[in-house]
Amino acid sequence: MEIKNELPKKSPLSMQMDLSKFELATADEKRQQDRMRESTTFFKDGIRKLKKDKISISCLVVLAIIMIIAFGVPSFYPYDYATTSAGKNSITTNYLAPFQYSPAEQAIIDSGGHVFPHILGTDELGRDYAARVIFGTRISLLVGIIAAAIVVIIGVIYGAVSGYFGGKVDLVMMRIVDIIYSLPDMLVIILLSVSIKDVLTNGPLAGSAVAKLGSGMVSIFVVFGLLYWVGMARLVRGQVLSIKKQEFVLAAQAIGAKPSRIIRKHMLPNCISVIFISAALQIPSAIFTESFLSFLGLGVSIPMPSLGSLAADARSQMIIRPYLLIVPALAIFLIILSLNLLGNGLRDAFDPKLKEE
Amino acid sequence: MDSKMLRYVLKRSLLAVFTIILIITITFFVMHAVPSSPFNKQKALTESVKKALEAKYGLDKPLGQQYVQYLGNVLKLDFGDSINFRGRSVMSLVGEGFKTSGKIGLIAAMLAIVTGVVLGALAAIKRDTTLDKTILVLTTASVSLPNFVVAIILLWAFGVWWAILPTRGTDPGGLIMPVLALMLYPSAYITRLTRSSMLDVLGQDYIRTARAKGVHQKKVLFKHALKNALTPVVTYAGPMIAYIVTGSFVVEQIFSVPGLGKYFVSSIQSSDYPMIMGTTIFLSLIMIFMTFISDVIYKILDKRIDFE
Repeated sequence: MEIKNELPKKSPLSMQMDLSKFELATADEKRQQDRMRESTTFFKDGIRKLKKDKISISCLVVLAIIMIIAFGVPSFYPYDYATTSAGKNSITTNYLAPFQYSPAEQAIIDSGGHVFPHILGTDELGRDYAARVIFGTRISLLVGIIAAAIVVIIGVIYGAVSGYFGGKVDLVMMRIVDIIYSLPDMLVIILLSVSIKDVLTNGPLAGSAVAKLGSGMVSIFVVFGLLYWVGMARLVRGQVLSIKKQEFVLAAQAIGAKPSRIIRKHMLPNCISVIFISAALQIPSAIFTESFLSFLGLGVSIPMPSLGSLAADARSQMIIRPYLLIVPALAIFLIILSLNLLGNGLRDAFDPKLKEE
Repeated sequence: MDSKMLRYVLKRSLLAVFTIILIITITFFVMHAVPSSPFNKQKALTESVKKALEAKYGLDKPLGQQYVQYLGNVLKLDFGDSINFRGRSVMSLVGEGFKTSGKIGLIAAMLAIVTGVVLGALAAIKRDTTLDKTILVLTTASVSLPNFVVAIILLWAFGVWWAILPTRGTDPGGLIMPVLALMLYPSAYITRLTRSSMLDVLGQDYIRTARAKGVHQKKVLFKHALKNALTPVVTYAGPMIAYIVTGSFVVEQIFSVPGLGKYFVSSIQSSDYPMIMGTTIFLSLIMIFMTFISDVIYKILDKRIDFE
């Protein structure tokens, strides 16, 4: 059969196009379709805004420097956080002032040897204080990051499920959240750290890596896993509730996507900025909780230091040796301040509601 | 409106009762699951003395029976006697602690709200000026230190370095520093909250309308803007007051204030069961009550929100 290069005669009501009425586009018109600029995604746009924000960038730099010091320096620093300096039972090594040497070390120097100075002096057991502060920073950062990760994982899953399914599921899940919200958190933390201490020292976990972390740390993680995810869950639920009504979700449902896929592929990417911001602000909260526990003597287990435990221990020496308090306090201050400012910067850069004034 | 509100209040009260019972249950069983007894910490007790003590506090009975008995006693408002403070009832100890903590807490909370709202409104009105930036930097800085560090620095600066304030909470004027230490964080937080919600409100159309009809600037700011900007502050203030009046262990410890926070922590550490239960119930009651109050005020202030 011969194929005609023309359309069949159309019926009066047909929507079929009549090709003869069209003409080819000129080169000039074609050029209009060229991409002038790479189209930006939501994420790229946010990063671009963040890069312009001087405060956020300087916070990132400060955090990066602190992280490099905390995770890099201990590998080559001549002192470590646990060993007492030069001679075990020598009173002369305790509470050395910054850059002061103990008699034993002085003897080595006098005989031509080289001794690395105690930049911040030593503590009550003759341990190098700079090494303790650096290691303590590492511990505090780890506590903050791990706790925030726990909160994000549990909170996001819980909030997304509750928001997506709605109805009775949502009602029950949110009542649970309400009840967890009104439990006194300090009670749970202290009770847990007391009981976990017992489990770690006498139970089957004694001597394992978990036990080395100390009851305070483990109980912080457990408490964050049990209690502190509720804020994140509420946040994500709210976001999911508003996204759920949009057309693209309906479209995904119409082509038969499973709920888990819709949540993962369509909803979470749309609330990632909120999760991000809230996670950045979660880290300070964990560091604060750890330092409070250290103040109670329930934090990291001896001899491991954290910034909080160092500051709490320095309390008795506050008048004679204020630098013992000031240095760890300053480190906490810098970390939290940078995270808070960075959180604000992230919100300004990524919150669509704040886009243009 | 009124019947709706009544229904809302009733619903919330029922939920509150349910929550309290649940908190009592959770605390009771978690507390007993912790493998330490209130009598372990004292000097070696002979087995018979320990038995006698356990019988005295009803700890020898099965846990379920203890629980039912405790619930019954709570209904009769009998919270038992403290184990750690011999011969003192939990009621009187909590009351005594709350007298001090409540006083400091209320003063600190009120001061925090006033300074926070004033500074926040100022920062919003004078947006992007040096004043605004100074306030922002100061508030961000003051939420970046753990409260025990703040308290120690205060103690060191005012109590030791300048020596202008007494360092013990029991001395006259000794409550000034605890109040300062308690109010720092909430006032900074309220400042930021007020600033952002005020900026939000100032950008709304009805403010432009008010200005366009020639309403005086002062009236626009105070009557139209500030009133509406305060709704988020109200939601925050309720739980904040509850948190602050129930005492902060850290602040009370550092400034030697005999308050509720100190009793609470020491009772948990010494497994003083009746004291733990009593303080927990008290703290939760205040928390639930304040959240409820702030929710109701919030709904009265913001007419757009339905009571359902």
